[in-house]
Amino acid sequence: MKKLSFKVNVMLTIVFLVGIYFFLANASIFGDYWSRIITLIAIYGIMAVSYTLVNGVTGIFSLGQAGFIAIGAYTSALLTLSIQQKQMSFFIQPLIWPLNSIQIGFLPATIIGGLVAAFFAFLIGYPSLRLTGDYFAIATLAFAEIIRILIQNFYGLTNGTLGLKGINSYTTVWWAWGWLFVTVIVVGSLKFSSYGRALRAISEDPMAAKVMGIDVFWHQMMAFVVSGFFAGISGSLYAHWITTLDPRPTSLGVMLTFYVLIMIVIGGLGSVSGAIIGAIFFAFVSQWLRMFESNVNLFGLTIPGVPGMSMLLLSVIFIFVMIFWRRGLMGKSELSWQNIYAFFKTRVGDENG
Amino acid sequence: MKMAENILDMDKITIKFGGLTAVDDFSMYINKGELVGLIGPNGAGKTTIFNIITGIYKPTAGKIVFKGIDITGLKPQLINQIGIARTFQNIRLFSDMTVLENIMVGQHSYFTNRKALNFLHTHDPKKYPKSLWRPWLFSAILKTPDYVKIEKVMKAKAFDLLGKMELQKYADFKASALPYGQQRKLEIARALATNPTLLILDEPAAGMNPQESQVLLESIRKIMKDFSLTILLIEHDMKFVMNICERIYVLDYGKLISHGNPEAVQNDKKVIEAYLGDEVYV
Repeated sequence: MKKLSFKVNVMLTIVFLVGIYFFLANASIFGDYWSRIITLIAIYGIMAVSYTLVNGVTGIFSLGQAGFIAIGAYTSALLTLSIQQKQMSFFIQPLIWPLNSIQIGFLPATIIGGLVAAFFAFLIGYPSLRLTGDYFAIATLAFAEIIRILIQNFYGLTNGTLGLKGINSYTTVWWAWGWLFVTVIVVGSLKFSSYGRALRAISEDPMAAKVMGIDVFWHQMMAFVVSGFFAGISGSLYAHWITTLDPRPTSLGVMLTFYVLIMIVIGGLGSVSGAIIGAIFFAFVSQWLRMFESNVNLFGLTIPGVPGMSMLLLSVIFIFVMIFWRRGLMGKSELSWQNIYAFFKTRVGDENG
Repeated sequence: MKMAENILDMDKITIKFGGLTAVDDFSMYINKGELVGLIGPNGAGKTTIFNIITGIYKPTAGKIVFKGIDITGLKPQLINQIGIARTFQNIRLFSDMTVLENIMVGQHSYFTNRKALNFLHTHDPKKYPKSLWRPWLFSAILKTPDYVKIEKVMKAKAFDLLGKMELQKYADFKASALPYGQQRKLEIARALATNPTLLILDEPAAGMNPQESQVLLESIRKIMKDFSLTILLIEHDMKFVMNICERIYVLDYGKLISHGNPEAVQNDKKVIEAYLGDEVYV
């Protein structure tokens, strides 16, 4: 197989990025609804890419992602809410001191949200990374749930079950896709560095990695913290996209973790580009399936709408994907121009005989 | 001083798993540049001793001294960085990674060996300078020039190592795609990538036919000379062991039953008893 030269790779990447730029610049022509979905795709993309660093590349099965997303979302929302809005919302118990009198910009609030989430990732990772396999999954699931329940009951900080309202809708297409770009660069660069090789080695055989001189615990911790940081960023973007936050399990709870899990499993565990493909797939399919919640007319046959039908159909699609692509759409490999070229080359070759 | 000559000194090592004493009062020493064999019937505790040396198990009692440094109870990654590398009985390669990547995983501790260097510094401040923290992780993400340079050197060294092991044509293959004998070789190459002074091999010739094990024997001798290594190995193939080892320790039921050069061990009554049974009727 011919190898594409460096020049060709760079050219194609530039063309691709310019194409994405024009697509995003003209996203508004699809209408308000679809441009919001395009923004959501990027937010889901950040969640999925950060999650795949832990679950795919490092191979530790965490179920705590929603906890970090929630922390990032609440932190940045509390920082960007206007002071009047805070006074208005917090009527059961006033907001505690430093937060009730400050309002900062979106970018610093997002970064602080990410840092706080990363700090919590460290706190949670320190005891739970001593566990392995299913035990680790259960511990992180429990920690995420603890965070959600704390949010639900800490009225002075999070307004409890009343939630936060009136968050400025700062998240534009550019913010979301810009952060997605940063996430992909950082996680991709990490995956294809010496540290990334160590992480992949840990995912395959922690014991062999240990006797090769790799400190398994701290490498897992590093992946967990980096993942927590970007989960916090995605939480912040999500908060300023949806503009209200509440601690129900279906919004920022276990369900969200499972949504992101579906994305990365469909895309292929351990593949950054696969995570983004999974996010796109999930965003479109879950929006499209919503039509089955109301009455649908299919070929002259009226299907009665059942609430929750979309989740049922999504799981059916998920099962089919898992039957035909057992390791997800991408497996562990990445989408590169070389791979695309090879894919089409073999197809053309087949046609020619 | 006897201690200084010996690269490894195990002193009265005992390990108990619950009520079972897997290794009992085991002592051995290895001189620098020696090739020592460890043999014994199945279940005698040979692999357990390897796991103790590499820090996977902590001995219940006893002391292990490596290059004059007490390494008893240290973490496996630290012991590896100090200079002991091993292979496994059942091959444990990173099978989804390429051959080159497998080697480069072994080199990764270059970035993270600060703990080991500072540990050595506390023992011998003159020989080992204090190591300062450097943000290698950020360098790796940002691909700074010094990181890229080191990565390049690593790659060149890895290719060099593959060349010495005659594996370079497989560099881009997945490790799981290699034939069995090459996988064994790759495991040794991966261990060598961590720059060990003591290499311990757990049944390197297992599952090989006589020709293959002859080739392996030659290549072990070669790498021993090339890398000025000391080697400790477990092997069941008696011909292989008697051919290659300078000294042999024989283990049975966790106890050392015999020790000496190959001829002495071969003729030791206790060894024959352990392998063939109590009384030999000829």
